[in-house]
Amino acid sequence: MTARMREGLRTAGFMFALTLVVITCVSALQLATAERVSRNAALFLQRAVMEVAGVPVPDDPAAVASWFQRSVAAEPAAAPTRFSVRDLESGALRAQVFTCQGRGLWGLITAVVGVDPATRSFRQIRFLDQNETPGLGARITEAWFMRQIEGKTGPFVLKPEGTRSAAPTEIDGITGATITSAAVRDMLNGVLSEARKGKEAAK
Amino acid sequence: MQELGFFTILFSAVFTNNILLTNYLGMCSFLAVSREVKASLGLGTAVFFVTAATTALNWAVYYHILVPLNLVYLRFIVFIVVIAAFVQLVEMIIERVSEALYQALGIFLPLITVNCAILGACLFMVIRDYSFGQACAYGAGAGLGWALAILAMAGIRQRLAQRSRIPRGLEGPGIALIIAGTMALAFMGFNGMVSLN
Amino acid sequence: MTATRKWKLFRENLWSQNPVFVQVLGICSTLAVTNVVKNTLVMCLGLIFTTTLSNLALSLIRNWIPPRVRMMVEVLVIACMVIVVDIFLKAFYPDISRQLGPYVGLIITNCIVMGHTEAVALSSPPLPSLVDGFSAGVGYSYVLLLIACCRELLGTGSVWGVHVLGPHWVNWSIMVMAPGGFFVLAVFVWIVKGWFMRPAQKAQA
Repeated sequence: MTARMREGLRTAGFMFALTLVVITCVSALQLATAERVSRNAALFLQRAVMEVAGVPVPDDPAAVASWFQRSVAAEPAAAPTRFSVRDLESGALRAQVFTCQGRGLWGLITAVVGVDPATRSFRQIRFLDQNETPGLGARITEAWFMRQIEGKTGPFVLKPEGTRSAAPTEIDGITGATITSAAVRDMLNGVLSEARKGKEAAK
Repeated sequence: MQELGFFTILFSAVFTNNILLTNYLGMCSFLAVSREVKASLGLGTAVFFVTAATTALNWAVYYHILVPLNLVYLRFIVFIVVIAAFVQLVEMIIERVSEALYQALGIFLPLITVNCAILGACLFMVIRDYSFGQACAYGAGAGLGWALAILAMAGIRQRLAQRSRIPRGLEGPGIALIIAGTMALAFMGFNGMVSLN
Repeated sequence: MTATRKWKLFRENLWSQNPVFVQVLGICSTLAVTNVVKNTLVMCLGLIFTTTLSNLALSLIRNWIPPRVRMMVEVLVIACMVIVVDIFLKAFYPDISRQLGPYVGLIITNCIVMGHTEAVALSSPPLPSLVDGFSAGVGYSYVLLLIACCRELLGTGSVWGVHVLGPHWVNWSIMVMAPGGFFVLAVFVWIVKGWFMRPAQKAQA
């Protein structure tokens, strides 16, 4: 075996050993935290559903999980798109929460929207996933934007940012984020028609 | 992702969401090399080519190897190994095939293995859930946008060096950053051109 | 390396050889998140962790690294540290991890990390390498935190989510968008190089 071959083998052996060590460490850490990560993801969804239903959210994750299990019925069971939030004592329907998706500038926007079952007006919206431009489209996650639909019935038209109109069909868009704002408007109007369909089916 | 067309993504990646001027990626070699147009042209071409190719390659690796085997958490290592291997391969091929091309491009290739823009383009592609066609468009657009930015910057800096007195504190990286900021402002104007309705 | 030499290295990394002001390196991965102070702090802590530990790890194995694969080994070790940071954030701080997006992964290609492993870790014993890595990370971090304070304060009127500037402040939206980062950094470099480092330049001239 020549010196060159020996050196080549040594290099390959070193790289192989190093790669093995790195992958083992990383995989171990990944396995150790995997359960925690999926719990975090579930908690995120549960918190969002509670917030848009207008329910105060406890700090303790275990409390959130147990409340969610007892008060919320998700359908269809596998990939829920509709949550019925019931009052714990009376069993009456407190809110209906819909998941919706829209086409933003950079990708899919996923959100949950809460609707008051009695008045058919919106409560709030929470965004589960969005890839919009920070400082522009990503401003849809600002508190004022998410809260502005409260009490309104739609169907919505966009008004320039800052209008803050009280009319039940007008919401403010975000300046400089036309496509993102339009996507959110369409998502909300979509939820409205789905809520109406549900009501008619229940009749 | 859904119905964003090839050219929409390409256009957006070059102008409205330029990987250097909006996402701040690839700054190190940008600031260092953009003093002359010729070097910038070489580096820009190399980055364009490598970004376009490796984004497509990494899409295939991610969706056909990492995801089915549940190894998504290793994506950082895998992506950068793919990029490094690809650059090495290209360098070897160019060296054999064309001496002139090697002189023009080859020296930049080792420099771009650790260019944040390339790894960044791959990571953004994964986050935004692109299909293969969209990933190709995005990779090509990101590379093209980076090349465009560095070329424009080189042209401006060469002009400035000839005619203007720059305050001592701003010489070098300082003035380059201000130029970059102004260019970023200008590119923001393209936002209105992308309309999907 | 004596204690005074180490201290000198530490101080240099914080000021005269500061990676951001003087060498303008490695701003890629963090400048994008400097529009919110909280995210910047998390990124900087991740970077300090990465530079310190990769310097240490590479210094420990420096005598066994085959010369031809030097860069690959550096990248592999750095990538390992960054993945650790990423997994840690996903598990314990998921909201922040979501906001940081791909930028945590981009610490791998951050020139500072590579630069210091190449220049120091491969030729120095472990303890000086550790000091060097740590101080480079700190030098980088305080500058970026200053930039973040400027951007968040001027752009949203608040720092760390706490409203400081009162209700009549009109937000300088430019500060939270891309050009703002460039301008604030340029001004910082200008102030430091043109003012504070002037005596040093005069001494050299």
